[in-house]
Amino acid sequence: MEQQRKAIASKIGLFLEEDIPSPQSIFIQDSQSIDFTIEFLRDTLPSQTPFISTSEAYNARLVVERILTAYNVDGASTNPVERLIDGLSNFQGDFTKRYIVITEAHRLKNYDNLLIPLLRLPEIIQLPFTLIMTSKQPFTTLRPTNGLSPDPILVNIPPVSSKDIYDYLIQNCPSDVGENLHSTYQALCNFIMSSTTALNTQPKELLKITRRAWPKFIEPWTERDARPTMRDNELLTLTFARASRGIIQSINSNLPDNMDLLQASLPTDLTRCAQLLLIASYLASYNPPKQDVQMLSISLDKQKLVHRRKDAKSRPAQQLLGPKNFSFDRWLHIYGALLHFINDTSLTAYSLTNLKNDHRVFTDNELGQVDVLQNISHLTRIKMVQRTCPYERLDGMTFKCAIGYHVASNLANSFGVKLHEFLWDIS
Amino acid sequence: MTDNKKRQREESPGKTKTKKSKVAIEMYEPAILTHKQCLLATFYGWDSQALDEESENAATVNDLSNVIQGSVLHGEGNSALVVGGRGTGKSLAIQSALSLSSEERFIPIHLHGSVQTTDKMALREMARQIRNRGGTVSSLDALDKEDHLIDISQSTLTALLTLLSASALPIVVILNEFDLFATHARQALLYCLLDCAQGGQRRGGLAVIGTTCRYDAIDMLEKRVKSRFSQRVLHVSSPRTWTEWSTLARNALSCEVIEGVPHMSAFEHKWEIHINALFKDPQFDLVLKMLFDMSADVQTLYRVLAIPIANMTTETPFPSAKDFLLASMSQRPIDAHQLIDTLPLPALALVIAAKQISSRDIDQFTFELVNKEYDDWARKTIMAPTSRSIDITSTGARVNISVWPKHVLMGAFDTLVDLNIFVPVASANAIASGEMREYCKHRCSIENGEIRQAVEKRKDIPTALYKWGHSWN
Repeated sequence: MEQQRKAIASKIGLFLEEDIPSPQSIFIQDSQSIDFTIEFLRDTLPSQTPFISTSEAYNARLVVERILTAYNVDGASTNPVERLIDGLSNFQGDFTKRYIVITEAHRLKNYDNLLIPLLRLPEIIQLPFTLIMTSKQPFTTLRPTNGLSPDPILVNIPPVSSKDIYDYLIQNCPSDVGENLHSTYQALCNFIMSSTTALNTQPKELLKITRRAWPKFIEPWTERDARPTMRDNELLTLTFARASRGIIQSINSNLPDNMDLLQASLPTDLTRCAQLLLIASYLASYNPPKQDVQMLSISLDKQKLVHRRKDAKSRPAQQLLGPKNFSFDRWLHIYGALLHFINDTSLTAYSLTNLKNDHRVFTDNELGQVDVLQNISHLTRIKMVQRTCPYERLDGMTFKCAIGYHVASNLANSFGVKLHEFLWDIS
Repeated sequence: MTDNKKRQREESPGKTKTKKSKVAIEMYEPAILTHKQCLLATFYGWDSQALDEESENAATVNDLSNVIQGSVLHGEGNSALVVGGRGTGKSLAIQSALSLSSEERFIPIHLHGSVQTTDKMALREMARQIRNRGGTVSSLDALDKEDHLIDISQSTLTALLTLLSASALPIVVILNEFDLFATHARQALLYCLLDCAQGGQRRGGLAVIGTTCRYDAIDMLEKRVKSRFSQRVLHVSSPRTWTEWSTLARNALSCEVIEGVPHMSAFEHKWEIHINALFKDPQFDLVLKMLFDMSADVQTLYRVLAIPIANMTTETPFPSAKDFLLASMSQRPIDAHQLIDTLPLPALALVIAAKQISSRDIDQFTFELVNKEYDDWARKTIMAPTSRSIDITSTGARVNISVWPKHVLMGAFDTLVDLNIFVPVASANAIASGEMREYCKHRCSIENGEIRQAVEKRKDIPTALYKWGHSWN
């Protein structure tokens, strides 16, 4: 990263030289090497300078508090903006230039009106404070509307060259890589560079990936003291490439690579009634209410599928747009209707069999019997079904299904029904 | 001078220069530094720049100064409004007018409509500034209590009178963003200030000067407020003709001879020659013309001029026209393709997918929707499972475009949200309240044409993806 460090120094350094004035505010946009930029700022700026990360200081009050603490002053007011102005205007420093660095500055736009006072700070308190903001996003995303504040000097850090990243990986090789294995480590770096830069362009993350891949890479090489030849290195790369398959991709993502599987796993700790309620909630969320009768009537033959919507082009399927809210009553009715389709053998709970077979008790009232309601409240408590209305509302409650297609479909299979037969939209 | 630059100089001690010329340049070092300090202090706004005597704004300054003098010397109550676009020099005009009366003793109070968003904040800020100027505002302590609500105009008036009586000196209140003060409830502060100024309720003299860039600011005032305003509206404007503009730039870059700096006048002579040459350079001319045509904003001009000046070293004491051109490029908002250039391929694929969706008149999408769009395309185009995507050739491994699994795309989606390329449509707490991530609605902040350009410019992009990026209208 030597080149990049040089680029950063030449882009920012000229504003921070000691014996010349600094701008009132600087905005540094850097999408790839933001860590190195902040490192440079830390090395260059006076040690007293506050570095405030907006992910840590999550509101205006905290940001102001950090600034005041760093400069060891206190403001009288409780309002953050007034406190900032009052505190800093009392500041008696012995050096001429002072800095405030705010990282991830794009969040400042959510900090009720703090940005404008910060940008206008030197004008208001008549002291040479320089505000430095860094962000991955361009300044246009947080620029106050209507030109209410002066624009900062914009600095745009260029992207890192892949040669630079490669050198960076080589330089930071793990300590257990001996002299003899150096060329092997280079082979791994080559492999990572060619296979992973398409998926991830952050140098620090690539280093992390390389470090994590190293033990796996060197595993087949048992004689740790011997020096592998070029041919050996190629073989190791080949072996790793075959073995890695998903490894690289899984390291890249912040989600488990078996997410799809996890999503499809069955919530087996639920009661049968709750599971059936989940299927009902899925149908209620993804089917248009008007088609309920058609989709769930027993009398109609499954040939009715002809009537399903075909105009998939005009509007995306509900499965892609997400679940819709449904009312409590609709949920219960779909649940009741579903009872007719499920296999007898799959039912173990007494109440369910009872409900299904005894037509006398199969009424609205009976559907809302206590244990069904209890299951519903359990499902909402564990958020498998979300309640989308205020908790104090008892009339006209609305819910939303929070399980995916795979879970619902597997659940339906366990009841001996096919989920897609009940779905209106099967694109 | 940073270590870095020193090192650079040591490494390449003037490739073609003789020893003599090197000595000659080093001789000027103090002069260059002083010159740089002077220019940058003005460009960065630490020192106020001198006002051109012949410009239209000089008349405004004159009027303003009369208004202030009236209050400061004769104890009058005055009010005025300075109207002009952004960056035309409203604040500069006021500053110049204030500095004309700098021998007299008075208290200037600066308020910003964008910072003091309520009357209460404005009053407290006034109290602070009066206190800093030695006024006694102990009677104002009631204001600092949060439970003391000043919400009816009567009590604002009381508070204001207490404030203004805290010092016997004349007071000049400058209301930046005057139009924003007019949006406060019942315009209480404006009413009271203008009432005080007009009614002469204050013995020491009071001037209220507003600045605004809204030409209809007066119409925003309520009738009772408007009638108390003196209707004195002054205008400032940025240079309207090209000659004025280039004179302004010429003056901004001129070198001031400062006594006591060795070789300053000799350097000044060289600098003037260089600047004259610069103004004849078509590239520099282009920079000035672009700025004149697009913004005619003095502050923007200064921002652009500041960068090559800050880059001045003893090695390169005379910035070239190309430096100015690059500086003007860097101060423009970043192009979308620069953002897209460093995106990982899955993220780029999602951006293209989002645009494909938008071409069907669906402008908001969920993760599932772009995922499906990408998946459909990838399966159709590639027909290869993920595992085969890494194909080993003799030159090493190479990643082709592949059907990336959902979790990789989810990571890419997060990257895009992080870069503000995909902007969430729902409120931020939608996710906090349990909205499923896959179904949060987003829109794409980059235009179709920009994506097409970015795809064209990017070199490492697989052909299939390139074609897909081009296949919509």
